[in-house]
Amino acid sequence: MKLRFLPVFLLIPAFALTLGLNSCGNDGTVTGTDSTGSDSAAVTSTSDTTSFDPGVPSPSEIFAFMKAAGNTNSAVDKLNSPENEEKYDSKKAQSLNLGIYSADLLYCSTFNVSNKVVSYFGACMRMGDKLKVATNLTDKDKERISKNAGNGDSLVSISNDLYLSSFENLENNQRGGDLSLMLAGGWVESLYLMSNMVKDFEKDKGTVERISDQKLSLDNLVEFMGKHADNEDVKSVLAQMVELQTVMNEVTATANANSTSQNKNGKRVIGGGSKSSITKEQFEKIKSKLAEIRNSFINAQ
Amino acid sequence: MKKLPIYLMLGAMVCINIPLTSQAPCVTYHRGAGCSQASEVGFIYNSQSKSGIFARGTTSKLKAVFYTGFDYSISLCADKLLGDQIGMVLSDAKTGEVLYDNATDNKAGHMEFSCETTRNMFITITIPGSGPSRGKTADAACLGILIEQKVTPKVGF
Repeated sequence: MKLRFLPVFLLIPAFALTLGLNSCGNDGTVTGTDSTGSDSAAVTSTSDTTSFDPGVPSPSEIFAFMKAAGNTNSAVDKLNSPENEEKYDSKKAQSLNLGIYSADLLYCSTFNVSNKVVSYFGACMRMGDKLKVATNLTDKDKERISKNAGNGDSLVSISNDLYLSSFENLENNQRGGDLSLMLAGGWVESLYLMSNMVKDFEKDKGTVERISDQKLSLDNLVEFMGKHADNEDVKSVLAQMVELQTVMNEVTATANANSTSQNKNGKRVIGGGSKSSITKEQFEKIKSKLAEIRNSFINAQ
Repeated sequence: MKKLPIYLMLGAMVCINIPLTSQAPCVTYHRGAGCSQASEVGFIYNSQSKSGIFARGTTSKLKAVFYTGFDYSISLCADKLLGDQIGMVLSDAKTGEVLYDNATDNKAGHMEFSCETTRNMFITITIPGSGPSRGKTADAACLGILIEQKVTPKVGF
C-alpha cells in the first residue's frame, strides 16, 4: 500500500532539485555588469563604471600567428609528457597542468602533430574530470578526435572548444582560483614553446618580438590573478608571474613613429603604441625564467 | 483519480520550470547565432569576448590585448531593450588615448581594424539613458562583445 505513494514522495525532492538548479546563478538582482542574470533581471545601480575581468588571449591565438609566420613544430620535444598526468594529485598541480596540457593539445593540433593529439586530448579530458570541469564537446567531437579523423582545421577547432569550454565552465561557476591557475599554466606553456621555437635570435626576430609583446597579456593575467590572490595556491603562482613580469619589463619600448590611425584599402589601421627593442641577452633571460617557472609547474604534485 | 497528485506535481514542476529555464544566462550571449557582423569569412572566435547584463545609463569596460599582424572584428550584440545607440570606444589601456569612438561612426555596433603595434586596449561600452537612482532597481538586458580575428593576409609579392 505504501508503495503506491512512493512516486509522489520521489517527486518532491526532484521538484526541489529542479527549483534549486534553475535558480542557481539567477537571483534576480545583480549588480552592474555581473555576468549572471537574464534578459529581464533587475540591476542595482552602485557605480558609474564597472569592469569585466581583463582578457588573456588563448594559446591558440598565439600559435595561429606563429604558424602563419612560417613556424613549424620545432618545439614538439618540449611538450609535457602525458605520462606525467598520474603524479598530479593536488588541485593546484591539476589546474596548472590542465592549462599546460590544453596548450600542448592546441600546439599539436595547430602544427599537425597528429600522432600526439589523441594522448593530449585524453590527458585534458581526464584532468578536467578530476577537477570537475564540464566541457561542451559532443560525443561526435570526442569520437572524431579519438579516431583522429578530423582534418587539421577541425582538430584545432575541437581542441579550442575544449579549452574555451573549460575556461567558461570555471568562469561561470565562479571558480576564479582554479581558472587563474589554468590560465597561468596555458600561458606559460605557450610562451615556453614559443621561446623554444627560436633557434637563431636574428633569423627568428619575428618570433622573439612576438614573445616580447606577450608582456601585455602577462599584465592582464597578473591583474586577473590578483583578484583571486586570497587563494594560497594562486598567491604562490602569482609571485612567480610577477618575477617574470619584472624580467619582461626590462625590455625597452620605443614609440611607434606613425601615431595616426588611417584607412588602408578600406580597412582601419590603428597607429601609435610602442615597439619592443629586445636584446639577445634579454631574450635569454626571459627564456630561462620561463623554463624555470614551467618546470616548477610540471613538477608540481 | 488515484494518480491525480502525481499529475498535479508534474504539472507544477513543468509550469515553474519553463519561466526559470527561459532565463538563459547572459554569459554566452555573444556566442549566439547572428552576433558576428564580420565583413569577410575567415574570422575566428577570440577568447577575450565577453557578455554581461547591462542597464540603461551604465558604462562598462573590457580590457583586451590586440596583436599586430591580426585583423580584428568587434561586434556588439544587445537585447532590444538597450536600444540601438550604444556607445563603443576603444582606448589605449595605459595612456587612455582614444583610438576609436563610434560616436563618429553613426554609433555603429561593429568595427574592424588592425594595429601597427600590439596594444592593450579598453573597450568601453555605454548604454544611453538615465540610470536608476542609487540603490534602486532598473530593467537590464544582455549585451555581448564578440571579438573575432584572423591573421592579416599578406598583400603583394
